[in-house]
Amino acid sequence: MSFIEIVKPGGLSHIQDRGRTGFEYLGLSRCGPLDFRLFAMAQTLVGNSLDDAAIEMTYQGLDFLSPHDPVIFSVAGVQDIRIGSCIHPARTTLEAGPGQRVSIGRLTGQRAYLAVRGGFDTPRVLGSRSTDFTAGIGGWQGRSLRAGDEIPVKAPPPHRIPAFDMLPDDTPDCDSPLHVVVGPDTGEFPPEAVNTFLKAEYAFTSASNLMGIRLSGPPIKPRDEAASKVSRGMVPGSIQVPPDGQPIILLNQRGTIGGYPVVATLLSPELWRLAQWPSSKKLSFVALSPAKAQAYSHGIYRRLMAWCEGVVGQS
Amino acid sequence: MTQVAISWYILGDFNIRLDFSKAPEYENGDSVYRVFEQLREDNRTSSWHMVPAYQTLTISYPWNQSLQEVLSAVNESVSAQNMPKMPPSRRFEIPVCYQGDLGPDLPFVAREHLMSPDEVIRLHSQPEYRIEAIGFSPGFPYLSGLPRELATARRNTPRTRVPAGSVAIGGLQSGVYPLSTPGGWHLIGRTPFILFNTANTPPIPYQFGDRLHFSPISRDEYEELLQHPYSTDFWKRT
Repeated sequence: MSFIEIVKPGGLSHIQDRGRTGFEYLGLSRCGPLDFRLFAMAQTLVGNSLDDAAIEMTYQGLDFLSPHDPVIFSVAGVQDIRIGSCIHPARTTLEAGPGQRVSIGRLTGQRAYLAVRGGFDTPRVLGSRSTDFTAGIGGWQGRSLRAGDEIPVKAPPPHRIPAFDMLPDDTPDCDSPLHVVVGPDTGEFPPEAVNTFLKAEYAFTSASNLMGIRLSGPPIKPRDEAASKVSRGMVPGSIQVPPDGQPIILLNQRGTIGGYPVVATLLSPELWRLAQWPSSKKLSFVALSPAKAQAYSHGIYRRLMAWCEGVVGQS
Repeated sequence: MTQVAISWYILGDFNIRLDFSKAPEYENGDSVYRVFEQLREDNRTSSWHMVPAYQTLTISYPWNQSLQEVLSAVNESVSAQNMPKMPPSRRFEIPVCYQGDLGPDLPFVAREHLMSPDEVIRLHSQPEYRIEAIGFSPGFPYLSGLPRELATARRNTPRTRVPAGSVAIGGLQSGVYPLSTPGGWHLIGRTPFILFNTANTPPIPYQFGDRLHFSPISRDEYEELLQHPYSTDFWKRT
């Protein structure tokens, strides 16, 4: 069976497929890529399905090689890639020969995706190859990748590579405010809290990980009664506010339930944008009505899927 | 079957929260449980994520499904006149050793309530607890039914690591830590069994709405059962 060997693991690199479905009622979070857009683009460029697994890299790319077989791969979220001694523009399908070292280097944003043709063939755990750091399952031995790991690769599909196509512009927009729908727990805040929240600029704090991003900025303290509320389900994008008034944005590996009131919820594609947001840069929010929010997100998903299908259609 | 009135909220784009707390017939989560079970049978929900917790059911659905379709599936499950073959919530027996280092906070809880450790054990192992939510970490059950006499405010400083299997009290609730995680509840005992096992489907034997009972075991029994940590014989379902 063919495999790639991790030579240098980069920042934090881990295996993710589309995510784990059907176990959130037992407290297992869905996981999946933080930036689904770049994940989908990388998979599409090598002719994989969006159900295949790729490697999510954080801040710094990894180095790998395929010892015995040539490997066809793509990386979304970097400018260029070193293969052996040559530097190649990254936004296309690439190939490395047996034993040739591939260095992914610096990412354009905060996260990038490595897809290999065929997809990574790590064991499915509870129906998914996604790494779940809380449960310590999935991916490669339930953990982030280390130097020396040998990650199996599935035999490539028989159809030819769809197209040596360029990615559309994969630079994320990390300037405009992130779209949210206000609520549902606005009743647990004083009346001015939502306005304060929407006018404020928030900074990232270091207490952030794959479960959530803790912000710091103008406090929006919940009413005292909020403390007595029972826990409720949380989704990726829920913006929870603990008693100190400093919001926490929950991500794909969040705890599935939480006791703090939710002031607003980020739209799904905005989580992809957030995944690329430089941690040194302040962020702010803008509210949409639920109907406008759904239309906005639909448009983004539709364009992304149309691009993916368009590339596959050329094969 | 009575009609259940629920309210619902949109969370962001493709998530909704159903809130049963204002439903006139709302009682101890049974209506949430029934709607959740009914929805799970519905093939329109196969790619949904669902989180039942206390009086709410939170649903995430795929972007290419319409809100109308989601709401009609919900409505059908809510108003199903003959909730058919609804599996009754199950009862699980969890053996717990309350001795020594396995229950490091037992002496504190006993002192706090001016009772003997044996009295704490007797009270804690009496009720049939109900699972009101599972979360915090995979498989952690939030249990209602703790005798009021045992209610104990959480620790001021959470432990950075709680051993897997720890049975705990936090406020008016009891719970079990299936995985070793940080935790702020008082640890009064430990079960020898490994509750989270990905080789099983589902990986956690109990779910929202089920009932748990803790049966005290001796240290010797604990050590013996530790030899079979994945055993499922102890799940006396009733």
